[in-house]
Amino acid sequence: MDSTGQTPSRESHVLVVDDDPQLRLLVSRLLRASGYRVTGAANGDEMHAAMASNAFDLVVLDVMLPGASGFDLCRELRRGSAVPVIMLTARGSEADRVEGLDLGADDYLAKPFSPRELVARINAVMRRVRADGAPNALTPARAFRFSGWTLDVARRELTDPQGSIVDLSTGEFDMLRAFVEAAGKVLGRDLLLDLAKNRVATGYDRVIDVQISRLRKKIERDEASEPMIRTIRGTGYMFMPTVERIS
Amino acid sequence: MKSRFDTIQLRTVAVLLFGLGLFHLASLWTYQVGLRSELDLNNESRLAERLVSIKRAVLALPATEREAIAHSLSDGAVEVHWSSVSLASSSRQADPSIGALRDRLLSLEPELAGQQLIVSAPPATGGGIDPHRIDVSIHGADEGWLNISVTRLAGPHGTMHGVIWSTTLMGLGVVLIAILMVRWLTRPLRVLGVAAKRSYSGAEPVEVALDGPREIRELALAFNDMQRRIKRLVDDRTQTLAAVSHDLKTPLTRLRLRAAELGPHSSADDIEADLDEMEAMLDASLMFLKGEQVDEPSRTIDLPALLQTIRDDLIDAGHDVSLSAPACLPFNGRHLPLKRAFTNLIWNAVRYGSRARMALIAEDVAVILTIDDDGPGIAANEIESVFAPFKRLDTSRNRETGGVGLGLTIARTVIRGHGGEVSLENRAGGGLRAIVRLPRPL
Repeated sequence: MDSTGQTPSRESHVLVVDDDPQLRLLVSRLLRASGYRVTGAANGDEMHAAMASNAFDLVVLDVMLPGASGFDLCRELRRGSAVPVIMLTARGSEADRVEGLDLGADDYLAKPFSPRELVARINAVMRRVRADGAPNALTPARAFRFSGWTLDVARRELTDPQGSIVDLSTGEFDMLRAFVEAAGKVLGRDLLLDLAKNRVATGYDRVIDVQISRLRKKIERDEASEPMIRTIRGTGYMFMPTVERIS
Repeated sequence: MKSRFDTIQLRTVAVLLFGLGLFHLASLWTYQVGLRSELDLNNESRLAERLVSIKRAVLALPATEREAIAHSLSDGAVEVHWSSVSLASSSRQADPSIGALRDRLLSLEPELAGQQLIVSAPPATGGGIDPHRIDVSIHGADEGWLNISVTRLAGPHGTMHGVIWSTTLMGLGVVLIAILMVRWLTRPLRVLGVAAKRSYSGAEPVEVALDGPREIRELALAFNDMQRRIKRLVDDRTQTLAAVSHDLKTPLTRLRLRAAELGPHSSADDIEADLDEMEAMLDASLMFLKGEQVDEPSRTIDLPALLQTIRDDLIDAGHDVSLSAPACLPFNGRHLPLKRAFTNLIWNAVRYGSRARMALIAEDVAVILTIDDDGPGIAANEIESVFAPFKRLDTSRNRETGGVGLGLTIARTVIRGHGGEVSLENRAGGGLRAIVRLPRPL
């Protein structure tokens, strides 16, 4: 069981690229408070300069930048690096989101995002990177398939065996993603709690039970069939179906 | 006038019928008068000639043989006799038309003037004069009268019925052809009307084809131009508002981050709540501005899962929401707009009706979602107006309940965009019920 990556390690270094100096400062302070080392950059040139002199574990990239846009920078980045990228945008449209994710961004957040959400997403990406032992391959998994279901990571979308979209809350999605990425392994309550704690302020313990039961209701519709999420008494939960990774 | 002739088609037919009818009657009258005088003249000259030839033939013979020849000259139309008295009597020349006829006969054949010529109408059996015959008596040279009885040639009176029939038929023909022609003529106008309606209901301008007569082409051109200008105007405004809303997002993000820095402070939560509200208003405005513009494709969506997410989020926020739905119900639609529409309706129920009870039912042709609340309901006369943009009941209410009055507007726009309908009704036991009906293709 991988429980070492529950809190961000002190060494994790995040590059924040945003042209708004105030916002850059505020995000940097927030991430420092969450245990990250942070460097800021106002545009593409500064980003390249920073990356030439430092190794970063994650880049937070604003889409609307003067000169080269965040999309352009993300494309450039992906040519030579596998560093995780989280895009920030003021336009929350589906088309933007898919474009960003198609370019190889790991996640996508619409302004105005909640600080908790940003930290949760960064933690989730960092946790995945550490779980893989090394930064993701140049093309990270775009989707996972299990028992006829598809979890599209790029679109943050779950489809059932009949092809219907099954709506998930952000927390449910992150939980299911953690499950499919660690299929066949026991996921500790602590790790699941870590996933959820940046979103819900109180009642951590109960939150996990509630969220698991809600998720089960959505993916285990047929009571007769084998449950997908099995409770491992005392330790946590295990995702039972075989999972296929799609890049 | 308005009720009976409110289409160009009918009006054109009416004008055509009136004009053509008037023209037709006038020309018919002129034609009839001309034709009759021509005929009369023709008949009279023939009568005069015949009178002269009969007279010559009869008078050429001796008096004893005259009656015999007169008899043999008779036929159906003309009866000739030789007698010592005149059949026609000058005392019965009361009819001025008979006198005129005598004058005309004399002028046509001056030879008749030498003899004493009497023209008269014979007495009818029932009294008066017989209008169908003329008696002509010519005084012979040696004390005898040549009496000729002629059938009076009638004018073309008998043909009047035929004329009326042919006129009526012609009128009907004109109506029929006029209806067809005017249909053809006004078709571009109808096309324009249909296009205008469509352009009203949709965001995209509907170009009208430039055909038909010049006036209609010009109208279509002007209409297309107007549509483009309206679209440009709306687009400009939408873009301006979208840009403003968009630019507000960066300061909003900064505010959120600053609020987070306050830490466990009494006003931090209040600030967060204010920011949530501002963001919701901004989103609603942007959504409203986008209107029916569809940038998301239709997909199959599991409706119960969608409603579960909305319910769970509201339960987490401390509201009382329940859902009764089948385990799985696929529906073809646009995911995020539908989620927004349902959220707005459910949020309205918990905001104004303290709790929301949802029931989702699948019928053969439609999916029906009812959302009941325990609020005071809405006065019957205001139940439709709440769907109007920026409409908020009870204007004195302060904004602590949130919203800009776009929630129901957006919900209705989205649901109608899916071919469905949403309505509100007061429940018999109190509280309001929202009913969403979404058609399901078989």
